[in-house]
This record gives sequence, C-alpha cells and structure tokens, in this order.
Amino acid sequence: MRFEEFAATRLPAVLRFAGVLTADRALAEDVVQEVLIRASKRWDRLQALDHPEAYVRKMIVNEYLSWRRRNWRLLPTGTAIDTDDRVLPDYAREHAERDAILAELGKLPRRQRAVLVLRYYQGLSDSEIGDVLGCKPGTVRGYASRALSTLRVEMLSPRAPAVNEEGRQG
Amino acid sequence: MRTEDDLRAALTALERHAPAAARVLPGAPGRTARGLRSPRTVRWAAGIATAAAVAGMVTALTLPEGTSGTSGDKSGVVSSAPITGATLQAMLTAAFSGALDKVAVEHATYRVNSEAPVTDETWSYPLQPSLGQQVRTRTIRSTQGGTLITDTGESYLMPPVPKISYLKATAEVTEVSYPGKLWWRQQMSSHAVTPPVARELIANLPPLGKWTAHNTTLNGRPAIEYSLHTTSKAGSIKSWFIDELWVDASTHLPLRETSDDGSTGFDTVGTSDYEYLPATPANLAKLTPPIPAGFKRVYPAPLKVGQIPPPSASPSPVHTSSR
Repeated sequence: MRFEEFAATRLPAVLRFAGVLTADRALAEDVVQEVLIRASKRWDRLQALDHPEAYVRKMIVNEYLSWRRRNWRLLPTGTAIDTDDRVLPDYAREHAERDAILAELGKLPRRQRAVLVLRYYQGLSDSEIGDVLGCKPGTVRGYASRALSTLRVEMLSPRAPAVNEEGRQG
Repeated sequence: MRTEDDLRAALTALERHAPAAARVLPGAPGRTARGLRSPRTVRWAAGIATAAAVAGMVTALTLPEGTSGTSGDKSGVVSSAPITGATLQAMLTAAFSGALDKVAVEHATYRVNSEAPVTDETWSYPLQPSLGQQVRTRTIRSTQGGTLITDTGESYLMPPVPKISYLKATAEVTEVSYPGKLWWRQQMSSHAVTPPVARELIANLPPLGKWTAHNTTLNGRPAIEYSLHTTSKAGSIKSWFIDELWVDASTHLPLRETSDDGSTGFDTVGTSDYEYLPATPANLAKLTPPIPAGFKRVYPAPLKVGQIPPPSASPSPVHTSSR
C-alpha cells in the first residue's frame, strides 16, 4: 500500500481516533501531522507491515503522550466561523451526563485516558494496549481500573465489546 | 453509577474533534489563512528539506555567471548547466536582500482536491525581516468570483527560523469573517504565524532536484523561467513544492511560481504571482484588515491543552458585541 493509498483509505479513521484521543481538534491536527511527516519518510518500511494503520495509531498515541506545549493554546485558531463552531459546542442539556463524563475524562492523566480510548473506543485487548503503550497487560488493567473509578463507571464485564473503526457496536 | 456503554457513547461523541484530512496533509490550507503557502505546507517542506535549504536563506551569494538576465543575452537558454535548488534559494535570497524596503504582495489561486478554487492576496512587510524585526502580514481570502471569505492580519516579531517546523511567535491576530459578519482580535502565544512572503517562497523551493533556466517574457517583462527537473529522489517530493519559477531578468525577484500535482489526489494545485511595492504610507496601510461596519466582535475564551469545553449549563465562553 502506497502512502497515498493509505491516506485515501485509512486516514479518516485515524483522524477520528486522534480526535477522540485528544478531544482537541487543533492538538489532533498537530499530533497527526507530526506522525504523518515521520511515517511518510519511512513508509517503505511501514508498508511492509501487516497493519501499517495499527503502527500509525501507535505513533499517534506515543506522540500524544509525549506532547508538550509551553503555552496555553488560545482559541480561536481558525476563522471566526470555525471559532463559533468550536467554542459554542453542541452540548445540549439532554446530554449533560455525557458532557460530565467528557469533562472528567479530560482531567485524567494521559496514559489513563489513552487506555480508555484504546479499550472502549478502539476495542483493543489489554494485551494489545500494552503493546501500544509499552507496558504489561496488568499495568493496563491498573490504569483502566483507576480511570474507571475516577469516572465512576461500573465495569459490568471483564471485557465488554467496544466501539471500533470497522463496525460500531449496536 | 455510569456504565461502560455511557463511556463508549461519550468517547464516540469526541469524534467531532477529528481534524479534516485536508488540514494535516501536505498542501493543505493552513489555519492562518495562507492557502498554497500555509505554515503547514512549509512544515511539510521543511521536514524533508536539507539543512542547505535553511542555510541558503541566510547566505547572500553573488548570482552565478550565466544565470542572470542582466548579461544582455535574450536569445535562449541562459544557463546550460542545471543548478541545484539550494543554489536557486541562495540566488533568491540575494535578490530579496536588494529589495528589503518593499512590500510584497502575492496573488495566489489554488484548489485542494475538487474544491472550488480559492484566491489569497497576501501582503507582507518587510520583504525579508531579520530576527526580532516587526513583521506584518495580511491575507485576504476570497472565492474566485471575488466573494470575500476571510481577511486576516498578523503582527509579530520575527522569530528564529526553525529547521523542522513552522514559524511560531506571539502574534496579534485580527481576523474578519465575511460569511459570519464577525471579527476577533487576539494575542496568540506560540502561534503558527503567516511567514513573510520571501521566506515562505524560498522554503517551498525543493533543495533536491535540478533547475534549468530559460530566457522568456512574462506579462511583457523580460524574465527567466526556472523549471524543476526531478531526480528519482526528488520526484517523490515534487508535488509539495514549487516546480516552475519565473524571476525578473534584471532584479531576479520572483514574479510567478506554480505548484502542481496529479498523483496524490489530495494536494493543491496553484499559481502565485508576486509584485513588490514601495513602502509608502498607502501601501503600508493595506497591511491592516479593515473592520466593516456592523460586524460583531467575538471574544473567544482561552482553553488549556486538552481541556474540554464546559457543558452548556455554564455560560457561553464566547461573548459578542456590536462594533
């Protein structure tokens, strides 16, 4: 698969993943672009992998976890129209509970947040998450447990099906 | 107690933060309203460019013999030997150095994928600022039919030129949105500023590959046309850079450049024309976007990195007022 083919077919899913992971469109842009610059330069090696997309996702997670900024990001970062869209989000009152989760999610340490995204959005197993983060499955479960406790989310099953890019959970 | 399904639903809602592909791929319009020459375009270019690209920007060289149109040779090829992109960069740097007190104006028309063509008129002063010098830029974006979209002005002190990133500075940014009849002005830290026209043009010249020169005319003016001939190594990056460049035969200042690509399916295709105006009060005044009467000012709130906007129960972080 050439880089251009990857960009055409798989990039939208990668972008959604970055958006969920960062909850910040501008940050997602920066993170994805950094990763694409690096990925494109060594694509001859990445394309030989069975799942280059998975590797790109791993790069995105690592980039996100190591991302540093010295300054606050100020909105707006686009046109005034974009600005309205960004700072007037479609949080309706009926979604208050969901919004509360998102607000608390935003306060989690990044690794805990990444674990939740990889587990409940991406649908990875704890072993696969450990591979992405470079830690053992037990450590992943520790992160998940603390994060779920903070969010007051009750884990009904040891490993419930997750939302992923190929097919949404019904 | 919340359930895992609640968490999944919340996470899925975050997909709205997914950036558009056109914003992260090479050739995409940047958020600072530079189209073909967006900071992100430069960033892609700079990430691949060799150090020679940067070195060429600060090294004023004498034009190589046989490549200048001042010799009086108007009959054909001015340089039989191709030159490298790094050499061409250095030649342009030298040309810009001879016209420092000029206001540069770039008229760019481009399109991304099948989107409707967009036109950017970018004003920039000074032509080639030194470190710490006050820079002012203004980009007027419109449809090809002339309908205004945005008018963005930036003022900042010229930061150090990074090797593998776009220019960042603390900038005062003013943007007028014509469709929304809104405007805002904000001090923005670590902002990806619109680069001065000269810097951006040089940064978008591929240092790889070879360039051949021919005498020609452009809009009735004697000019030299440089054409990029890619090697196999440079071919892979050709689409992200300038591939044709016309310079004034006497001053060697760029008059026109084109970027074209048909292979990747997501790149830009565009042409930019340049002019260099004296720094008169009237021309300098055009570096500041006017605020049309009746437009409302918006006051966006600052957010921390990763911070999620508060729920709607809180007061809106945006306040508007009549001008």
